[in-house]
Amino acid sequence: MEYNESKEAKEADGNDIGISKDSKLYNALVALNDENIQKLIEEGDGEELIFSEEHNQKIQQLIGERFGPEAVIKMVKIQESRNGGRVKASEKHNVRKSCHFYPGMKKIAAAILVFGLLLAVPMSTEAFRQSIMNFILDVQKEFVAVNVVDSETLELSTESMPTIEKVYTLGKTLEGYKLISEEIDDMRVLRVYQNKDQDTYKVFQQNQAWNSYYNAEDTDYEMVETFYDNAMLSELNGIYSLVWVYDGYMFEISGSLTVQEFVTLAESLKLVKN
Amino acid sequence: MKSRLVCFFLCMTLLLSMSTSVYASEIEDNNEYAEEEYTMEGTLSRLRWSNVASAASGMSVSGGKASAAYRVQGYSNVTTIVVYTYFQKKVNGTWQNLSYVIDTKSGNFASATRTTSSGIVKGYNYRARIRIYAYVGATYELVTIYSNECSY
Repeated sequence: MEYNESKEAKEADGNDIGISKDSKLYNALVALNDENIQKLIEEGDGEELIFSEEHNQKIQQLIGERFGPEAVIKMVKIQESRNGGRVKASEKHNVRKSCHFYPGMKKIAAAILVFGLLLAVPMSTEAFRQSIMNFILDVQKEFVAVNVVDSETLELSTESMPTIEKVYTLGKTLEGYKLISEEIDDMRVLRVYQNKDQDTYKVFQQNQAWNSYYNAEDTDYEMVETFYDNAMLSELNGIYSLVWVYDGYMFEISGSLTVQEFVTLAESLKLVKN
Repeated sequence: MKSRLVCFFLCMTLLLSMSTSVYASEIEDNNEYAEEEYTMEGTLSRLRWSNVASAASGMSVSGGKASAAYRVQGYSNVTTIVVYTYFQKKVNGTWQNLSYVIDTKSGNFASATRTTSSGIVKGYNYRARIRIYAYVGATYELVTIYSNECSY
């Protein structure tokens, strides 16, 4: 039996959903009660009706608009139960589609909008800088630029140290790791250590005039006590980096290490070429 | 219909606020070109910092030679990093490209030092513009960073 929406049904309940107020389905949806839904599933709704797919889509959308996606999900559950657990992909799609009209979603969208505007206004009008010891974090819209400031003037270091004249290395290597690659030139020193599980950590020495950029939105920073004036530990998605300044150079160790391992390695720094 | 209009208005307002913050970038980027901009293979991901965790660059100029170095740390799922190092000279307040070098590295980490003597003369300021393409499969994120500025 093909179901057709009747004009009388719309007029009878005064809404545009097309379900009579007397129907069990309407009452169950209004109650939105698991017990009622279960009862409805168990009892059935009288004569089994076969709805066209087009009608199903329309009715789900209308129900979603009126009662929210929860009602549609429960309606799909009813259909699923009646169909022996089968729900057409198009019906599942309708659940998502109807969510666009859920009043609660509008509130969430409005909240996101207000939050976005509040966030956008200060970040777009003025970047802010935070000086931590002799690091300066220049927090901009899309990144944090980490630079070194002169320890006496506390101004951004503008002096271009031409090349790396002194080469440093770490006096200690973490247990189980060994040096697998080394690149040394006028601009940088890079050493990579790896263990048998292919875990690595890298040690980098660079000129302190370099510009370093980090993800501003997700990185966490904290200062770590070492025997250097300061060291900054950052964490981003499990990638940890310890950065510190010594003898006019900036050093960075990165890898999935503990704070104690970072500190132990950093404090083992020694000069190998003067 | 009313709901759609409200949603449309919200989306437009949000897009407008986002574009404002991007437009307000402090980095001057005048009269610059990128050779590879329209020829890179793959699909550009506009989600910022989706593939790259950090990047750094430095430069030095001496003896008629400019050296630019960089390092890029991508997330663990990054498969390839392509780096274009552009050497730039400041002429009448505007940065101009002198030459560029391409590096392609497998994995999620890249670092190199590149040098040039082309166009390096005394009396100007120089910097490196590093364009990083970090790939995850066929999708890449583009991050552009700048080295320190050097007087020569």
